[in-house]
This record gives sequence, C-alpha cells and structure tokens, in this order.
Amino acid sequence: MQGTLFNQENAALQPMYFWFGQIVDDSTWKDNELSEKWNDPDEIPGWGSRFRVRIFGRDIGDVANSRLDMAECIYPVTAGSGHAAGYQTTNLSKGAYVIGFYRDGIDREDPVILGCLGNNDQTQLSQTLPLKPFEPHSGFIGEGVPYYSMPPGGSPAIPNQKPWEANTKSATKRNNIADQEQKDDGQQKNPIQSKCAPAELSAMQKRIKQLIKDIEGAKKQVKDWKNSVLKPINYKGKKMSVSEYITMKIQMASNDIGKFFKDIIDKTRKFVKEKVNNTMKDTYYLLFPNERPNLKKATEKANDLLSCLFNKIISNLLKMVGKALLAMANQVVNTAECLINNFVGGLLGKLINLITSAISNIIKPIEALIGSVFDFGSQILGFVGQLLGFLSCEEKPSCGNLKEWSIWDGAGSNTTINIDNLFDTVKTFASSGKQLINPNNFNFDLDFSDIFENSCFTGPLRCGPPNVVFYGGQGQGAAANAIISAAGDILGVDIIASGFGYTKPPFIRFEDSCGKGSGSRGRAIIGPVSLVKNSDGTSTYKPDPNGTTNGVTGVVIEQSGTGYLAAPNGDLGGDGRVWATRCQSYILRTDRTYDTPYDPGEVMKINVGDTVALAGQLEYIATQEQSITAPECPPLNNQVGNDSLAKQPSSTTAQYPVILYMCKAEIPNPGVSYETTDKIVVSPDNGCVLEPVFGAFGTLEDVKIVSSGMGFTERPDIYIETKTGYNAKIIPIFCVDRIGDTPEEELISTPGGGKTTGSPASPVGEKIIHVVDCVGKV
Amino acid sequence: MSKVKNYHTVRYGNKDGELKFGHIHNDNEISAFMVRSGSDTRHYMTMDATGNEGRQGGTINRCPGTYQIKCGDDVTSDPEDGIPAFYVECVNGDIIFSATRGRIKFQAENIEFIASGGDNKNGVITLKSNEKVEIISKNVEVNATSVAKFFSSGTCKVVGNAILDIYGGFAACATGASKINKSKYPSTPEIENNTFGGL
Repeated sequence: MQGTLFNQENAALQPMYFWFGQIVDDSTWKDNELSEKWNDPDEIPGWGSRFRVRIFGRDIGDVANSRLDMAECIYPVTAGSGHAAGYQTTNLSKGAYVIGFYRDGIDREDPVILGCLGNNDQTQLSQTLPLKPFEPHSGFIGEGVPYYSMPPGGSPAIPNQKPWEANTKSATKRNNIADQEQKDDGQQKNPIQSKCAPAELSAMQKRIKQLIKDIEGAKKQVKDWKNSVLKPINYKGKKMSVSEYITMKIQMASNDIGKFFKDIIDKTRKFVKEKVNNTMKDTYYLLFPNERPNLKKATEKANDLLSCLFNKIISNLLKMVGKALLAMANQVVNTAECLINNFVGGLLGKLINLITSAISNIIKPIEALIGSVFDFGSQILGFVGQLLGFLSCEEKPSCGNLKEWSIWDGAGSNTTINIDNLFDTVKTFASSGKQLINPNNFNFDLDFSDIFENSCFTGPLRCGPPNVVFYGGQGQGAAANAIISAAGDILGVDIIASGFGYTKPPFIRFEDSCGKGSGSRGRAIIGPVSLVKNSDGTSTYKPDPNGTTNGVTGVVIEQSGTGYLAAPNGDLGGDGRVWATRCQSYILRTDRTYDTPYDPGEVMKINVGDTVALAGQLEYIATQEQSITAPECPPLNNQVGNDSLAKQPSSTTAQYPVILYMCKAEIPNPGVSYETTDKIVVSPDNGCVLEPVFGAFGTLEDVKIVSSGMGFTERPDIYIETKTGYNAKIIPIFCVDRIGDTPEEELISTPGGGKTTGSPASPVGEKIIHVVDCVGKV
Repeated sequence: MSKVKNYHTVRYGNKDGELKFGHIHNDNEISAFMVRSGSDTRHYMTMDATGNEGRQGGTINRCPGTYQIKCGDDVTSDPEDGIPAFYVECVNGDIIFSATRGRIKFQAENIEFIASGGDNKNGVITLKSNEKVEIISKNVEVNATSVAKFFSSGTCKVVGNAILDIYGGFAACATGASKINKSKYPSTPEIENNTFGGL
C-alpha cells in the first residue's frame, strides 16, 4: 500500500490524529453522489458518501471550498456496511460540525468523519452562506423547510423566526407548525348520519363552525405568518384571492348543508301531493258527473305544477343556502345554538312561505271548480313542525348514539337544539309577508339578510374553564363543574346534579370553548340516586343508597390534561379556538360584522356607530370617525374590557370555593411483584395516607384510605416505594367539600389537616380552590 | 401532572420526513410511534398510547391524497377456498365508511351484504337515500318470509312490457274512488281494522 494515501506504518504504529472541522457549502460536494435514479455504477461521479470539510487549524480562510479535502464517513455497527443489503445512509448537511481522524496519520491528507456535533436550540445559525470560514450557518440554505422545523405561528406573528435546526432531546418536544396543524385538523369533527333521524341539526352546526374557521383563516392570511406560509391563497395548486377562497368554501358548505333542507323539502313535497290528491278524491264523487273530467284535468295539472315547483326549489337550494351562509359568515364568531335556530328556522320559514304562496296559485283552478278554499299554509307548517319534532325524539337504541367523530378526539357530545324555539322561528318567517314567486316559471329570489336580526349572540365568548358534558348512558340530567388546578389540569368535578335513568355510565367530555386545554379523560361512575328537594324549592337527583334510579355519582379523572383555564384570562373565542387574545383589540361594525382582531400597534379605522373593544379597556360605541393604533397588551390582572360584548363565563361569573380531599383511589394497573412492606407515597400528600393491599404475585389489590387529607390544589404523584415491584398505577379520586356546606371553622379545627388525622400543613385559604359555576350558563 | 412528559423521545428524519418514538402531540397525548411528511402537515401515521376512547391504543392514518391498498395477487381466486385478500375484523364497534363529497363503490364478481341479529331488532339492512335507489339487473328477486311491501306517496308503477303476472292467495285492489265507494268485498286489513263498509 506504500505510495497511496494510506500509510500503513502510520496506521499501525502511530497514534490517531484527530481533526475537527465543518462541512462546507454543498455546491462543491453534493454531486459526489447521484441525486437521480441510475442503473450503472459508472454513472456515479464519486466514491461513497463523502463530504467536503474545512478543518480547524489546517484549512485557513483563503483556501477555496472546492480545494478542500473530501472526507468519508465511519458508520456505527448498527448502520451496517451495505453488505447483504444492510445499510443506513449518512444524514449530514452543510454547516454541520464534524470530527474525525486522518486515515493517513501524520500526513493529514485523508480525513475520515467519525461523528458530528449536534446543534442545540440556542445556536444562532446564519440563513445565508457564511463569508468567513467556520461560521455557524443553516443547513436549509437553498432548501425547503419542513413544517416540523417551522416555529409555531399565531398572532401576533413573531418576526424573523428562523427554522428550528437542533438535534437535542428537547428538540423533539419543541412546538412547531406541523404539530399545531395536525391538532387543528385531527380535532375536526365529522358528522355521523343515522337511518333513524331524517337529518342532523348538530351536523349542520359542526359544518357551519368549520366554515367560519375556514373563512377566518383565509382572512388572517394577510397578517398571520403561519397562515401565509401554510395556507397561501393557493388551494390545491390553484392561486386564488381571499374572496374566491371564501366563495369556494361557502359552495362546499352549501353542498353539505343543503342535504338537510332537501330532506325536509322532499318530505313536504310528499305531504303536499298527498294532501292535494286526497282532497280531490274526497271531492270527486261529490261533483256532478259532467264536472268530474274537469276536476281530473285540473288535478293532473296541479300535480305537474307541484312537481315543477318542488324541483325548482331543490335545484335552487344550494344557491339559497349559500346566500344564507354568506349573509351569516362575517357576523359569526361563535356558532351558538340560536344561530342554528335562526339559520334553519329562517330558511325553512321563508321556503314554507314561498311554497304556500305558490300552492295557492296552483290550486286556484281546483278551488274554482269545487267552490271552496283550502288552507294548505297552516297544514304545511304543522307538518314541518312534526318533522322537526321528530328530530328531537330519542333515537331507537339500534341506531346508535354516535353523532360525530374526530380522528383525534373520537366521539363528540351530542348537540341538542331546542325544537320548540326552532319551530317558533319557522312560524315567524313563514308568516312574515308573502314571498314572491313567478307563477309562470317558478323563479324566485329569497332575501336572507333579516334572518339574523334578533338577539342571538354569535360574538366571541370569554375563554374560561371547560364545560363538563355527560352524554349517552340512556339517562339525562347529569351536570357538573370542572375543578381546575392553578397549573391548568383537571383535578376532579363537582357534581351539581346526578341526573337519572342511566343504565350504563355516560361518556364525559371536558369541552373547552377556546380549545386551550386538552388531553383530559374522565370516566363517570353511576349509582342509585333519588330526587331531593333543595332549599330554593327546586329538586335535584342526588346520590342515595335507596334510590330507585341511577345517576352519576362520581367521576374518575384518568388523565388530568393540561392548559385548562381555572378562570377567564381575557382571551376571547368559541367553537374550540381563541379568536382574539387578551392583547388584541377588535371592532364590531354597524352591519354586525366583526373585523379580524387587531394586534398591538395595528391601525384601526373606526366609523361612527362601530363598537370598539380595545385590549384591556371597556368597549365603547364610536361617535366619530377616526383612526387609532391598537394599544399594547394589558397586564394579566387588568381584564376589564369587552364584558358587554363577550358572554359567559365572564370575569363576574359566579365562583364558589371548595376544598378537595381524597375519598377513593382507583387501580387501573395492579402491577406485579410488590412486597407486603412496600408503601404508597403521595406527593404532595396534604395529610393523605394510603395503605396498599397486595394480593397473589404481589399485585396491588386495593388501596385503603387511612387519612383522606385535605386541601389538594394540584394532582399529587402517587406511586409505590418498592425494590421489587413495578407498573402499579394509582389514580386519586377527589371528593368535594363546598365551603358553606362544611363551615371553615370545622375545617380548621379538624385535627391533622385531613378529614381524619394529622396536623394542618397550611392555612385553610391556601387549600381552597375556586370553581367557576358553568352549569346551565353556557 | 399537567403536561405529559417524555424524557426519551427518539427521532430520525430529514427535511422530507421524520419518524419519532414517543412524540408528544399538541393536545398533550403521546404517540408510541409517528411518521410524518415534512411537506404536508396532514400526512402522517401514528400509533397512539394515550387519549380518549378510540385514540388510546388506536392507529391514525391521515393523508390528504389517495389512501391506497393493493393486495391479494397471490391469493387463490377460487371462491370455494374463500381465502380473503383483504381482511378487516372489528372485534367490537361499528365500521363507518364516510365519503361526504364522494361515492362509495363496491365492485366485485359477487357482492354479499349479510346482517345477522339475534333478536327482532337486529339483522336489518337499511338503504336510505334522499333521491333514488336504483336496482339494475337481469333478474331482480325480492323474497320475504313474512311481508313484502312497496309504498309510494306519489306514483307506483309496475310494468311488464311482455307479461305482467300478479298472483295472490287472496287479492284486494282498490282505487281512489273506493275512498267514497268501497270495494264490494273487504280486504284483509279492512277486516282486521274493522273499517269495511264504504261511506
């Protein structure tokens, strides 16, 4: 081997000579390997995976990159060598700092790469090729940046955010656009239809929610860094303006929502035709024989015209729904139940009005023959009322309770719409002035601008604690408030009403209207309950061992989640997202449309009559036209603004103090191999003492509560101190003492800081958690 | 407890894609395994370790493009053998196919839908449509062991271009006119409901 770069003597007898360097701009080395498909190894210009490196202390600045040495790589044994198809590739890029040794020893002409130094998140990398040697620079220069390397967006956008390029363990946990978008996408709910219900009002609500979010996202594109990167006005490779995008989204939503109305109109068609034909049958033999052929002809013509009318309505349906959606789109932040009420009620009412008016024209010849007038209007209205009433009926068990599904959150709770309110809206619009229809061709044009003109609040809600929603289980009436720790996890629930009629535990969801909290999972426990009279004269189902029906008597928090708000923090939102942060200001225009919230420093153009809500300030109605700059973010404890616009839970929402103690412990996993001397550790214990009961093979059979402790304000870690056992899992279940129910004096005097033993660890005030009372308010 | 922790997340990847063991999602749930694309956030696969019903222990395959499975080249095509080429078994729970803006198409040499219920409520096949249900075939047979009914609130037509045979052990027919002038002889429902008797 003498005469080659490999110096046998050096390699065999001399120590290894290490070097440290940096992989330089890839324009001088990347074509060492072929980047395209190839067939013949002769096509490959270089040997193996090699990188051009600038070596500290050897390659000083004036050596051009193209004259630097190419270095091969050493692979770990787990990567394989390529033999027998066992190989992994190198994964190095320009800018990487690498370390290696010289294969030719002291000659220092044949560097080999042994490994690389990982970037950390604090490393400042230049986004342009360095002018000086060894300057840290990005590997993304001239390359596409993947979404998981992009810093998270949001508003206000953080300027000059560079792509993430670190290889630390923490880097696997850094927040990024991909994680954010995966969450948004994964939590989208898809309605599940049922053969039992003619159509799903809740499905429509979900669809409208999605439309509002889509439109909001499109509008934010112009100012939100994340959206401009992720959702350029470029849909499926087609460039489009914001208004084109919104039109497209409305068309798609109209398609989905139109199905509901088509069902109702179809059934109304059936009803009307049956009514007309039955009436004719009743009348036919009452006429003189010479009049009967005329009635037959008139009936046939009426049938034809009715078919034309309904076909025309159905063919115009999507256009009408789209028009109604457009009227709604800019006015809605939060798709409240009343919005669906107005939308469905208004649209149906106007259609019934139209149908009634058209039918009265169609059957005029028949009425002339018979000599009497029919009132189809009220009959159609009654029929639609019955149809809507059917939507509120309990479904047959074989139809299933699943109404919606998201790939991340699974089943959603069922939205309930007040059918009486809905029908009232239908009646209002069905009787409000005659809709005009051309009797020759049934062309018509409905105006939907007035269907949202009532007190329905669809503006932003104040972000606050999650609502506890029970659904399924065949019962009804269970209600509870979530108890949130200062750290934002769910400690437990305070059951306000147990409900009744449950044959199996209902599902439980913690619905956060602003989507701040996530990751919680609860399991309801049912038991006998009976109706108990409250001091205010009302009655509530409460646990009672002698009760004859089952209600919710407890909830196990299997996962406490994170990010939940214990009380409103000033952000505004609804439908599972934050619409405006506490730092943003917004304007409600006189036409009831909301501007996209303004970041601090943005210019707000205000018109007379606009309602202006500046961050941290009370809103006001503008009396003069002006331009102002949105104020800076107020401190967290200065959230006085926006109260009259935003609704519950407001800063003034009723709160009540509670004290938590541990009343039960669940064992989701009994583990194995524990010894009888092992002890349960509760940290922090708050005076709580638990005693394990082990069974065969050292499994955890039971947990005895020796002392229930008192004043838990965070979820404690509970584990078994052991030298032998593993995997047992213990979940605490907290019970609630509402202050007032249990006098504070009694709690102070309780020996031991616990319900039973020990001494007080802290003053009572520190043991209290304030629970926002959301039951029946949101 | 608050935020889920994982001190030992393992990752491998480049700008085109990455795979991770122990990834923590933004909703505080953990995937035992996740692989995702760098160019589209909607393109990923996860095996989830935590989450609600359906999420924990579940696998998510999400893609913005076409999700394709091709298999069975070497499976015997003899129907007598009955070897499946694509087998999906749900131990519990429903199977839901949803194509909100598309169609669901089954194409095969033969198609069987079998519903087996153990009581009078289950064992039902429902076809529900808000426009039309079409059955197109050389032969159409509807066999009912108890009752077969055809209803239409509008027109109901039975056409035999060559031959129309209608047989019945007992047959009752009525027209709209019989709402006033009932049939001379009562039909079975009329006897059962005691509504025979004309005007």
